[in-house]
Amino acid sequence: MFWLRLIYTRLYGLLRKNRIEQEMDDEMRFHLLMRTRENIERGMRPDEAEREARRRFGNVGRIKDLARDIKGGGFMETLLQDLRFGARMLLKHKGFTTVAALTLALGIGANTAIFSVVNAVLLNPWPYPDADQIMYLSQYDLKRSADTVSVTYSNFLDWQKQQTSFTHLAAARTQTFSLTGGVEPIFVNGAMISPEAFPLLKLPPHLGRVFTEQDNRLDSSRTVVLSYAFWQSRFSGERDVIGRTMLLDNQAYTVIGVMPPQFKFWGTEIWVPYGLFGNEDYATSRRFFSNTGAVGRLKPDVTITQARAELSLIAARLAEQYPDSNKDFGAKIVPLGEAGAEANPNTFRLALLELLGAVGLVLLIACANVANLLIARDAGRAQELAIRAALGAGRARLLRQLLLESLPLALLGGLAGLLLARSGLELILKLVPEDLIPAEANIVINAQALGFTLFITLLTTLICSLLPALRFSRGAALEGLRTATRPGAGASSSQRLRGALVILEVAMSVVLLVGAGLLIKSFARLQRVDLGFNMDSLLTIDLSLSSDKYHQPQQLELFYREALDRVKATPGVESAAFMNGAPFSNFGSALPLIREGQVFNNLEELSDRICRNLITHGDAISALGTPLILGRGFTAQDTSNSEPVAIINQAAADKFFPREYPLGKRIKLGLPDNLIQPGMLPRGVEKFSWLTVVGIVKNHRQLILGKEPLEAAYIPLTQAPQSTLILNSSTLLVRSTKDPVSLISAVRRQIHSVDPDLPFAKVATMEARVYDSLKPQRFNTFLMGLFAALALLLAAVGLYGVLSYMVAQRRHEIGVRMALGAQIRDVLGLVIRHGMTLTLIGMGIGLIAALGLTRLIKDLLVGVSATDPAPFLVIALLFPMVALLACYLPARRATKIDPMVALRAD
Amino acid sequence: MPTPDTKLLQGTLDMLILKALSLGPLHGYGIGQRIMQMSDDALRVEEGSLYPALYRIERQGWITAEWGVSENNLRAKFYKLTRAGRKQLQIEEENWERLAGAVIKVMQTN
Repeated sequence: MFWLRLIYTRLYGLLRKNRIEQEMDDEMRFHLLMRTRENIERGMRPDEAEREARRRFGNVGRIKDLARDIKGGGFMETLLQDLRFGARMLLKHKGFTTVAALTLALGIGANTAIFSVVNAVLLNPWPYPDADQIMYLSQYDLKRSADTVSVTYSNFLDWQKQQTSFTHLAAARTQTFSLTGGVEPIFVNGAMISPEAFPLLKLPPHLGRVFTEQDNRLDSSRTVVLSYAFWQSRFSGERDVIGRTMLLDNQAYTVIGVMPPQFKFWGTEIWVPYGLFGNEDYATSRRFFSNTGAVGRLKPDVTITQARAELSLIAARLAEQYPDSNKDFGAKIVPLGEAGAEANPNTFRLALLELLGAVGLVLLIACANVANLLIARDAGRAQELAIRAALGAGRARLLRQLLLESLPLALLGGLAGLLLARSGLELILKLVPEDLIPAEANIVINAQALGFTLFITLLTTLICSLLPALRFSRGAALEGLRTATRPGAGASSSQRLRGALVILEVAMSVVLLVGAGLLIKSFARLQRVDLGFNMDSLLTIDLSLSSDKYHQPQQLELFYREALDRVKATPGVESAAFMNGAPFSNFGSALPLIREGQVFNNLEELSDRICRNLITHGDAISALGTPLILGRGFTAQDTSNSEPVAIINQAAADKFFPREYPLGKRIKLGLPDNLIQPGMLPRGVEKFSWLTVVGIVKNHRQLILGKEPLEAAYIPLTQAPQSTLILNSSTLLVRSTKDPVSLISAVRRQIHSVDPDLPFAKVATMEARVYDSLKPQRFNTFLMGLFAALALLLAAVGLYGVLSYMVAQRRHEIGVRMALGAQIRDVLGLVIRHGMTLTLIGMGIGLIAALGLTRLIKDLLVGVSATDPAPFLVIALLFPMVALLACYLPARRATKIDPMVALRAD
Repeated sequence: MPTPDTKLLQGTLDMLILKALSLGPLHGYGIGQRIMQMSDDALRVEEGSLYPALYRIERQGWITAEWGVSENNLRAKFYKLTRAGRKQLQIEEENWERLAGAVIKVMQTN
């Protein structure tokens, strides 16, 4: 309140300046008049009387100056004065301005760019109104609370009916469609969602309407809502799209609405009502989890704790009602933002925080540099400031002056930084791993980012101007007065301060360099990881066969057989195979592996026997190029009529057959017959058959290069459980004799000759898939390396600046030394010794700090410990070399000092 | 950081102004005249100090100013003691007496 009033009166003072000036003039004129009259009464001539009065009054302007300072209005005036002065200094010292503004721009720009990412990804990813009320709901095993699974649709429907904590509860499940009717079939990413999702997310459609309960029944006429992007790309944004028909998986859907651009729920292109699929296995089973997610909007007066309590009760009730499937299953509720963090043990979150920390250090280094530059620039002003301090200008007044003088510089740096951030963000957007951020996240420089930029700009002003002001604390004014009368003689306190700043810069950049070094080593290690298969000359195509067209496993089998025959016949194809669960594809399933003779009495005993289930058609082992260690690969003789076989990987052999010879042994991938309950398995599967192990292959990496391979078993498609749910998605592996990219169109033609309506979900070389899998690490390592390099550069510039200043300050002394016979070597040594002392102290501090700080990024490192000595050693050797260069240039200048000139100058 | 002697000087002038105004409202010129009269022409207040002092005291809230008409029918700014100013004058008078007494004692012992 007090400040508000003060600002008001001062502003008022500024606005009413003319009135106050006028009053002062009037008052003084009156005084002069009275004095003149008195003088005349004493017998002076009128002109003489007036002159005497004026002389006696003294300097009107000076009195008014003093009065203005006292009367308010003075604050705003000196404020403008200081700002003007700061701006004038910028124009006068153009070189200084360029270097300082560029330095600040680098720091501010890097911070703005990284903050924009953090803001969009971590802080405010959701565009929905009151997004903090939106919760993500899942099921979890009460006995193993860490394992969250998505909810089954049947359970979801019961939750929805019984709960009272949420205004709306909505389910969603990813579903891919093939869109036909155009020139080429198109693969569309869609989601089936409850109609409640729309009122829940509170974003009205851009065009048309959204689903209602009437659209959500099994027998409702089929409707679809489009995303803005899909509408733009497929329908060129035509407004008459409403009412048109789309052929999705050979079914006609009527377009009823288009959502606004920011609505990207579930990250898909189109949405269809979940209820249309209420009859499918995944919708009717309580046991069969199928990626159905649930979101709910809390009622305004309900807390998350209350909602959790209610849902736990409901879950317990369902467990009683359906003990076979729901026993020991609870409901889990977390805010939407935390759901994503849980889904992937989010190292990306950590990476972003690490980068935020890194750019924070870069900014501090930039500030230290600019503070150093300011000290050097204002060295001549030490005297002025000291005199002002001695004359009674309060310390607050001096600080304010320094603050305001550096504000124009900071604003210039901030503006340039904003431009840098804009182009930097373009680069970042190319590197950012989209899979790890919410679909809704919109990485742009928005109002929040601008506010942040302004904030750090003011912060840099504060740091840059207050650091030099340290010299004026502790009554140093008098010392300043004494020493500053002979520029270059003393200024020891400022030299010490500058030294301390450089030490700090060196230390901070060493920390960043070590961090970057660790990440680079980890990244290099990842790239050298043995994949376990041959990624060269391998083309991969993900296919999803629509369940409407291929509702029998036999139809799928027929397609795979025909397609494979044709692809293999294509010139340039060496071998080919279909595989569900191929490396670096998103398909795949896992089941318990049990051995003949083992007896299991409940499902829990199977939980640590999970084994990846790789369903193949054709010779996938040789198409992948995975070396066979023992036994044989699949042949054309392995059919639905022959003895079922399996090939296991080394990890599975080690785990399930320790110190045994696995070949010829019988295994089952699935559940033992005694544990299978009605309704537990998808349609078409009654029980699992025994498979004879015929071969052992090398392990291969699955999705993440840094993750040890899991146990896996390969099974021929004809002998696998006959469920279309698993068999309908598959990756075609094509090993080629030439550039795999050149084969794409030929292979596409072959597939379309079998099924002209089949869209390709993803076409890529295996090399590209492996490259893409490293996107998070590449993002992090590249940016961290960039910031560390920036820090090194700034620290080197800082060191160079301090030494140049020192040489200039000590010209006289160096001149005397040279006159007394000091050799060039001695002068070089003098300067370099000083610089290297600062460097080594800073490095020592930095290396010790790094030893403690790198622990923070240990989760980002693969195969490298946070205290791995290599980066520490490299930095300890490399940094002094850079520092030496930064020291050598000013040192050489020192040797060029002409003793005669230096001495005469004094 | 004002040195002790300037503080004394400034404080003294402030006290004299307050004292002059304690007898009734005056304009700036009048204040100078009144102080001169009261000190039997011993103290002559410089205009260069008087006006800054007036503005300063006004900001302290010890005096207020308003425009009025002078004895010779001219528009002039009149200063008036406020209640706070009267209290301040009392404090300053006491301080001054103590200080003056001390100075006198010092001079006598010498």
